[in-house]
Amino acid sequence: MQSELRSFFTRPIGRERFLKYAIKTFALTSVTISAAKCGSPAVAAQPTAALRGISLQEYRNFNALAEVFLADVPFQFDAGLAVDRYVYGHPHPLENRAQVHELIGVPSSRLLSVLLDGSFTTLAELDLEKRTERLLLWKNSGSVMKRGLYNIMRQTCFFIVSMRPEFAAYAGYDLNRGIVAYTGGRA
Amino acid sequence: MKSIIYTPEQHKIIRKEDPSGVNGSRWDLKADVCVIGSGAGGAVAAAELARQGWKVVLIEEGPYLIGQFTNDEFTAQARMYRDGGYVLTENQTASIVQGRTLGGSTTVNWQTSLYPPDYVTNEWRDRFGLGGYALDEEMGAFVAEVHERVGVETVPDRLINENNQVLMRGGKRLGLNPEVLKNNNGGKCIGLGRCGLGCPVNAKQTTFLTWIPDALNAGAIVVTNMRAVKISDGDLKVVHAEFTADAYDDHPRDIIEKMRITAPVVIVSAGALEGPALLQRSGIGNDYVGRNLKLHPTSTIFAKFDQPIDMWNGPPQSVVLKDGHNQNGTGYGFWLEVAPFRPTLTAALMPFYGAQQFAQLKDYRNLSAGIVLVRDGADGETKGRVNWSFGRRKVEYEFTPGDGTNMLRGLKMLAEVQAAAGARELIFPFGAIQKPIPVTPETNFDWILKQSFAPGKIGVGSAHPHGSIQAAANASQGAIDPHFELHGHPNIFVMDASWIPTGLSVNPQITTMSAALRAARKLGGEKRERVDANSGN
Repeated sequence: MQSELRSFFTRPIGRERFLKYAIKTFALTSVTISAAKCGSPAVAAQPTAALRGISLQEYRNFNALAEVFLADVPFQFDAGLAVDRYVYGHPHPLENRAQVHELIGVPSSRLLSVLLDGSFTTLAELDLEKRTERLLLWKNSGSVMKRGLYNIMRQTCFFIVSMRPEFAAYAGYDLNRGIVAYTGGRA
Repeated sequence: MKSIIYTPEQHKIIRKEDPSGVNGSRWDLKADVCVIGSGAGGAVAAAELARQGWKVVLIEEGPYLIGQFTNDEFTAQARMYRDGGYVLTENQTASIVQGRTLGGSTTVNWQTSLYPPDYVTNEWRDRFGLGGYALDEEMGAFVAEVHERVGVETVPDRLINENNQVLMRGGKRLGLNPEVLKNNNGGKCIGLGRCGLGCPVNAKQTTFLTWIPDALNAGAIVVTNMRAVKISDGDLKVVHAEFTADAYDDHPRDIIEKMRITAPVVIVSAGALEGPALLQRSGIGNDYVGRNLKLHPTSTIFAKFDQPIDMWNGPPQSVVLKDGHNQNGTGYGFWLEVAPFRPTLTAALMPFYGAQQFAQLKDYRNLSAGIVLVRDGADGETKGRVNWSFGRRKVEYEFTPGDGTNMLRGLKMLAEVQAAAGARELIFPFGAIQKPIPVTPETNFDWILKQSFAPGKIGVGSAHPHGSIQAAANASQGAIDPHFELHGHPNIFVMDASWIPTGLSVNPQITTMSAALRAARKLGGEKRERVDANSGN
């Protein structure tokens, strides 16, 4: 079955349109089927504080992505909790919350796994090595939708990790710098 | 009503001053014109019409944050930019930044103040019947007036930072022609470099320091945190708006949740993404509403040097390289500038992941970010469009062959400039390249021209969406006429960057302001036929 699906998805005509509608369907219905387990113990761990808006599954999903993209992050970082705080850590949720929920629903969507990869094993259910392999296949895929998903998942992970002051410090950027006039130019 | 900026904290004043207008949590009011959006187009239009005696109501979707600007890039993006940081195209392969705060993108732009060259304005005249836009024609006086109001001046040498010196130094070594840019701060800039986060010392002359005070002084009412959801057309238009919370602000509970503004004239200045979406969900306008979106797409090469660059420090953009602007005499091509990316945007745009990415970010202080900006539309129309569909604004965009080729040409020239300036390594925006590439001034970059520009194969961003409600003399070529009135919908105007019918080729602030000023000045003189005749006054 997998080879048949792969054959279908490698047809040059119609594939992108099909995937586009499939993903739209996913977005509209927000189909997420809970994964029985999510890779490494770190990914399956419970959040260290109560989630304010995303589900536990979504929390695990984002940590599953972060485990790949943010491997070797140089400080303690709970990506799932951070994405929850990004959207819901204020008096009102951010305006893009629907898009964020769609994105962090992707790793546990069996429907998308079948449609994108011809597999009933979701991204979140794969171990780290296989998850990394699948994401890199997306990155180098002939499918615009797969490349796009890789692109936005990677970008979002780095966007989210940058909310931590430790990240700015790691890069040598002073978040608390005051009003200091520029003096480095050439008079 | 007092002529002030009504933030959520002032809603209690509205209830006191206009008790008959407030019904529960809805505020009904009448005006001569409702302006939707407070950026480079809407603020100018509001000021000009108020000056000419119109009763103006200006609504802005975003919050008013003067006095709250900080050095925290992440929070600034999440709070002051549309879609919590960046708008994504439907295929997730291009990200667009756009201000969503009082002042619109003028509050968060990088001050670059340019007007397009004659070959662009000539194309508007020849292809779309839009005359008078050259600087030696009618538009020249409007551009000069805008320059005066927002303090456009050449960046002094003492403020040209290391990031921009990369372009200057590398360009000169290659025999190119780097030019010093103009910024809009009236000489008040001290080089904090925080333009993209909101200027905390009010040096940058955003519209909330210029045109909006002008509008208020002439009697206009400004309401923030109000998003236009629909326009009902007719002799009298009705703009339906809803309260939009600033996620970071715990506003009072007793707020005005909805507005209904009745006016004979409506000006849509909601930007090239939200403007067409508003018109589409209102069922207003022809097929050109949303079509031919131009992004002025950019791509970035990070150049690593032996010494700190600190690209965030100093005015963001003070040097430009225009040598690639007119490829093969087509009028289409690219310009090179630099970007003051702080760690958040650097991390999002750098193409690696995991250990490789963090290793590069460790050297953040030594990075310079050069950007290519392509004048899109080389093949006629772009593959860009905005659609309101199933309750969502959707943005589609990908390169046409000509635009993609110009992007690759630009990246090649940028790499040559950065290498000539002394860069040791370059980080390219191509997904297929897994690590930085060591370079010397002698490195050959012809290979760049063979790279793929297919969506997702190359990192693409934009800060200049424009042209999605393009103007043309003939309705078969555009959605609005040369005076920016919607074809087939009298007294509904579009005054922002959406009118521009071709790729603009430059950062759009000055063009948008100047064109809005010209259109609003003409409209202002037509109050009797447009307002009095329709309102029964």
